Amino acid sequence: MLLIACPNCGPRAQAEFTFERPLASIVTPTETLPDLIHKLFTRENPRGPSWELWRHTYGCAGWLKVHRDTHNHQISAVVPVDMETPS
Amino acid sequence: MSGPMRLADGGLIDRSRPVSFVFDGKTYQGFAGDSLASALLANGVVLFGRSFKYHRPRGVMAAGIEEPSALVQAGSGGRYEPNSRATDVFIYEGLQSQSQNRWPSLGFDLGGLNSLISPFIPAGFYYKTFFGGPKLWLLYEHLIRQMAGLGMPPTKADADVYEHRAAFCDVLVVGSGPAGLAAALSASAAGSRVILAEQDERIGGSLLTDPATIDGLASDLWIAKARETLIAAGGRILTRTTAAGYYDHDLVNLVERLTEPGQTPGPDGLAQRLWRVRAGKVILATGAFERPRLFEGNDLPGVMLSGAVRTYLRRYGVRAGSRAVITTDNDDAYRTALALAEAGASIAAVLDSRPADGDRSALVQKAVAQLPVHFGAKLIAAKGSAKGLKAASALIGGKVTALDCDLIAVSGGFSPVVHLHMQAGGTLAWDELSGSFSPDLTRQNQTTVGAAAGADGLSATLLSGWTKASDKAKAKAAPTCAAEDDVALNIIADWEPAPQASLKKAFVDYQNDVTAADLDLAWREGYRSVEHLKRYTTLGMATDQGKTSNLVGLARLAKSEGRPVPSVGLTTFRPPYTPVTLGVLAAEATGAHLDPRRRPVLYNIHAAEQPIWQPVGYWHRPRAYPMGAENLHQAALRESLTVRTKVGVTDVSTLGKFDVSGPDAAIFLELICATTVGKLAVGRGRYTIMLREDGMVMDDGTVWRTEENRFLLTSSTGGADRMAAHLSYVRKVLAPELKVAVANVQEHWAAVAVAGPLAKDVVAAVLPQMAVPRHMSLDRGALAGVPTLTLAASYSGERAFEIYAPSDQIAPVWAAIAQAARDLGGCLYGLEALEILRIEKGHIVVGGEIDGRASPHDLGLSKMLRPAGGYIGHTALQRPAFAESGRLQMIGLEAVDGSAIPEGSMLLTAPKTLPVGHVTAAGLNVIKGGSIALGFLRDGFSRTDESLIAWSPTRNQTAKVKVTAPVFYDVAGVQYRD
Amino acid sequence: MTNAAHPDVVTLQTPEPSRLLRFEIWSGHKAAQARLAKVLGGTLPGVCKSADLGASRVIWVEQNTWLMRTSPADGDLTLATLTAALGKDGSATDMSGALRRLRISGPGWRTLLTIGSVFDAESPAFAPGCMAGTIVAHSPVRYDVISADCVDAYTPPSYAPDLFGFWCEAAERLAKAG
Repeated sequence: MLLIACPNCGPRAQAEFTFERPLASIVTPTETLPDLIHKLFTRENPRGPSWELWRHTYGCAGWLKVHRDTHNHQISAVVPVDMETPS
Repeated sequence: MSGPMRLADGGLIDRSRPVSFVFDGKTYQGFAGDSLASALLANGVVLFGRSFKYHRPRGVMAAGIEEPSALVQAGSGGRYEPNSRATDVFIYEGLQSQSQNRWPSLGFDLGGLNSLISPFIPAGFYYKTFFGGPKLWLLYEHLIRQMAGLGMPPTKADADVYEHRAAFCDVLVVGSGPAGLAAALSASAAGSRVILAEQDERIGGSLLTDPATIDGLASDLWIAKARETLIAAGGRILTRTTAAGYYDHDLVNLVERLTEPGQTPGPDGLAQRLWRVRAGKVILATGAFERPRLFEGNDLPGVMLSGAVRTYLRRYGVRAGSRAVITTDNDDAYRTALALAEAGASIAAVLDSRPADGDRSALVQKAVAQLPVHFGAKLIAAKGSAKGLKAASALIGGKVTALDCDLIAVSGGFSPVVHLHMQAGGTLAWDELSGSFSPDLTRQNQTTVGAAAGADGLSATLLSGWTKASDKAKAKAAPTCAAEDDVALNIIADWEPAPQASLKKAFVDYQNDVTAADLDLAWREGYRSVEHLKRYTTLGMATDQGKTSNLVGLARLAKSEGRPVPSVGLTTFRPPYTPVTLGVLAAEATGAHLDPRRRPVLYNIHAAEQPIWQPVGYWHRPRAYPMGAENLHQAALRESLTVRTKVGVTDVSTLGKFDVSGPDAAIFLELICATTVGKLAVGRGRYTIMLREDGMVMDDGTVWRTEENRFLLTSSTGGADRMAAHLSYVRKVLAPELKVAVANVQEHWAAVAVAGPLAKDVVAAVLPQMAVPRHMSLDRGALAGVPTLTLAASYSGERAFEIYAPSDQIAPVWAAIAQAARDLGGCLYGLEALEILRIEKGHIVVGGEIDGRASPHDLGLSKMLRPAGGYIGHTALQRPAFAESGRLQMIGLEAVDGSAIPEGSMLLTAPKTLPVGHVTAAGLNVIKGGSIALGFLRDGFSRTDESLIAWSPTRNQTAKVKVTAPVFYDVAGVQYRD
Repeated sequence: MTNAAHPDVVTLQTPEPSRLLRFEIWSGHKAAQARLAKVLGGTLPGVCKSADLGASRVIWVEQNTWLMRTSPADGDLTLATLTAALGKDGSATDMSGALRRLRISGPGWRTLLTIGSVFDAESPAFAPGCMAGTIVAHSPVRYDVISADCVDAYTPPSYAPDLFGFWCEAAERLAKAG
C-alpha cells in the first residue's frame, strides 16, 4: 500500500487513489491520428522512474502527476496535473 | 499439583493462579503465565508430536515462535486453530489441545511405519516415484492426501470477530527486549509518537530469561519503569502483537492476538486485530534465533536449544531434565550449564567444539571449575525414543565416549532475525566467525538494533537500541548494565557433524523432515542453486519457514560447493513472519459484507413487495415483482405485456446523472458526446453516445438542456462510476480552461419511469398542474409538495416519462405514481421486463451490445455522429480498420423453427463451421410471441434475411434463425411519440 | 434519530436532512470569492478546511469547489443568493439528496474512525475546521471536524446503510471493550 503525498490533502494511502495511465499516453482532442495510435498502443514500460497520471478518487478528486520508480515504488515527486513536471 | 519437573519456586508464572487444561484428552495443571509447552514439560510430558514424513517422536525444542516440532490443534468447532506452536500458546482455563499428524494416538502412531521405509522416501522421492497412467495417479493422490499435511483444517465457520485498525506513528519499534525498550525510550524522549509491538504476552524479551541490573535497577523494575515512561509520553504498547509483514513506504502489518487459540473472546467479541501501521521510521529489535547442531538423533524428545532450557528454568520455573549434556560453539550455553546445575540437575558433560587453547572468559572459567567441560569435543549421536532421551555418544579427545543423559542442550550459534529487514528490501552482510547474516543496507526507513543487528552482549545491545532510535540520542545517556550481565558470545561457528554421525538421522529442517543426507543427495543430483535446494528438498518450506534450519542448510550447501556462504545466496523472505489467520486478514469483509452493497433510496419500499433482486455491479435492483406463484419468466412477461398494453412503473434512480453548468457547458458536452448537443433548445433533450479515445462506444444516455447554461447528462447505471471518472478527466486534465462545473447528481435525483399507452394519463393524474411534456421535452412541477422534473423519453418503446425528484423526498412521489398506475390497471416492473422490452426495440445497452469492441458504425449509429467532429474518439474513428469488411455489425435475429434462441450463442452458417457472430441478448416478441435476439454478425448490415444457426455449446441448444434489422416492435416508431 | 448511543465512548446520530449546495468558482476567481465572502459573512475556507459562515456550514471539497450545508427552510433562498453572487464566475448546484450525514461524537470518535480505515483520524493536525475525504469499509466518505469531540461524516445514500451499520457495530465493540 503506497503512501502518496497529495498536494491538497497531504500523505494518504494508495487505497484512496486510482492509477490512471502513464503521463505519456494522454491523448488530446486535437491529436493527429499517427500520434494518437502511438500514444495509446505503443507504450514504454520502463524499469525505473517515470511520470504517471493518478487521481485522488476518494480524497479531493484531484488529478496528479506522480514520478514513481517501477522497480522499488519510490515516489520522488507528486504535483498537481496543471503544474509543469519538474525535469 | 506443581508437576514433577516444576521447580519449588522461581519463574515469572503466577503460582497463585492455577490453570487446568487438556492435552490429548488428559487434564493437566499449570499456572497463569505458562505456555502450553512449559506447563506440559512441568508435568513431565516429553512427547509432543510426530514428524511430518517419518512420524518420528518429537518433543519441544525451543521456547518461542521458532519451535518446529511441537505443533498442536487448539479449540473446537467455530473456535479452532491447527498448527499452533505449543511454545506460542498461553494456557487458559479450559484450553482443549491435541497433538497432530498421528493415528491413532501420539503414543502409538501407525505412521511410525514410515520410519521403516525411510531409505525409500528421502527428500524429493516423489519426483522419482508414482509412475503410471492417470487412474493410478488418482489412487496415489488419494493416499498422498491422507498422509500430507500437519494439522486438520476447521470444519465449522469461524465464530470469531476480527477488526482492522489504521495507526500512524513517528517510530514503530518491533520487539521489546533490551534493545527495543532502549530504542522506544530513546525515541520517546526525543518527542516521537511511538508504537512498541511485542509478540510475547509480556515485554522484556531476553531479560525474561537472563535478568540483569540496568541503570541500577533489577531488570523487572527497569522494564516496569520503561512501560510507565512510554505510556505517560503517549506511546502505545501492544503485546501479543506480531509484526507480520513490512510493506512499501514503511507500512507494517501488526497482528494482535486478543485471544489464545480456541479461547472465547472478551465482552467486545474480538478475537484478533490487524493494525496497519504507517511509520515514519521502523526500528527492528527482533533478536536472534539460536541454531541447532548436526548430530545423529538431534530431533529426539529431550534435545532442546540451550537458551530455551534456560528460559524454561528462569521464566517458567521448569527444569527440562535431570542429567544434561551441553553441546556448544560459544559462551552463551555455559549460562545454561550453570543455571541447570544451580537448579539441581547434574551435568554429564559440556562439549565445546572450540579448540582447547585460547583465552577463556570468566564465565567459562567458572564452569570449568565446577563442571565436566571438554574442548574440541562434539556430540556424535543422541539415543532415545518416544519416552525420552536415554544416552548420548560423544567424541571427546578423539575417542568415542558414552554419556548418560535425559536432556541435551544445544547451541550452534545465533542467527539475527532479519525477516522484516529483508521484506523491506534490505541487504545482508555475512560474518564468517559467528556464522551469521546481519542487516547491511536498507531501502526504506528501517534500522535494526540489538542482537538482530549482531550486537554482542547486553551493554552493546542497550547502546545500539538507544543511539540508533534518534539522531538526538547521546551515547552517554544510554541505559547501562552491570559488568557481570555483559556476556560476550566468543563464538567460533562450527557446522560440521562428527564423522561418526549418520547423516540420515541428522535433521536440518525438523518440520519437513529434511536431513543432512537429503541436502547432500540433492547436491549430488545437481540441485545446487539455493532455490533448487529449497524446492527439491522442501528445506525451509514448512510453517516455520526455516527459522531454525535455513542457515544450517545454507552452510552445508556452501561446503558442498566449496564456496563461502554468502556466495550461495538466500531465498526470498516473504510475509507473514509467522502464520496469520485468514479471519484477521478478512476482518468484517466476509459473508454479506464481502462486497459493498449499494441500495437505491427506494430499497425498503421495493423490499415490501418481495421482488426478485438483481445485483447490478454493487447495486441491488428489483428484477421482477412476482405475483402469487409466478416464477421470474411469468412475472417478467406479465410486466412487459402490461407496459405494452396499459402502463408500468419502474425505479430508474440508479442511472448515471450529471449536472453540467456554466458558459462552456455545451462545449464541454460536445467533447464528451459524439452527437450534437449545443443546438438543443432549453427544455429539450436527445439521445446521445459517448466514445472512448480509441473510437469504441463507451456508454449511451441522454442530454437535456434544463437552463440556458445548464444541462442534465444521463448514462447507464453500470457505467456511472466510469462516466464520472471520464468527465473528471476531461474537466481537469484535457480541458481545465473551460468554465464548466460538473456535479455528480446520480444519487441526488431519484427517478421513476412511467411507460405505456396510459403513461400520460398517470402523469396527468399525479402532476395535474403541469403540462405533460411532449417527446424529448422536460417540464417542472410539484408532487405532494416535492419539486419534480419530468423528462419525456422512452426506453421501452412505449410513450414514457421519467419523473425526477430529490432522493431524500422520493417516497411520497413513488407512492403516488404507483397508485395512479394501479388505478389504471398498471403494475410495477423490474429489470427483466425492462430487458425484454428494450430488446424488442433494439436499444443497445452497456455490457451487452456496448462491449468495448464496437464502434458507432458497428452499432448502426453512424448517422448520429456529429459531422463536424471534435468529440473524443473522432480522430480514432479514422483508423482504416474501422472501414474494413468483416467487422462484426449489429443485427437482429428471429427464430424460424419455433425454438428459443439461446443466450450468448454463437452464430454459424452451417454446423461445425467457425462462428461468424454471436448473440448479445435473447428475448421474445411480447405481443406476437416468438423468440428474437440482438447480436453481432460479420458484415451483418448486408446479410438481412440470411439463414443461420444459433448454437450454444454450453447449454447444448440450437435454434435456426433469420437475420433481420435490429428492431422487432413498432418499426415505424410511432408508439412512443405524442 | 440516534443510531447508537454509548455516551462514554461514541454516539452516532443521523441529524435531520439539510440542503446541500455545491458551488464552484472557475479558477478560484478572486473577486467572486470576495463577493461570496460578503454575502455569506466570512472568508471561504481554504484547501481541506471547513467553517461556519453565517447560519451555514461551508466545506471545501475539491479544487475551487465547496459544499454548503444550510437548513431546509433556507435552501432555495441560499441557492439564489449563491447564484447571484457567483455571477459569470462560477456555478451552484443543489446536491441535497446526494449525501447522507452522520454525526459522530464522544471521546472515542477518533478511534472509531481508525477502524476499517486507512486514514489518520488520531492525528492532532486533524482538528476542528478540518475536512478530509477518504474511504472506509468500501464506502467513500468525507469528514468535517466540527469540534474537539464531534465530527460529521458524509457518504452517498447507497453506501450509507452499510457504512453506518459498520460504525454502529464497531462503536458497540469499543463501548464493551471499556
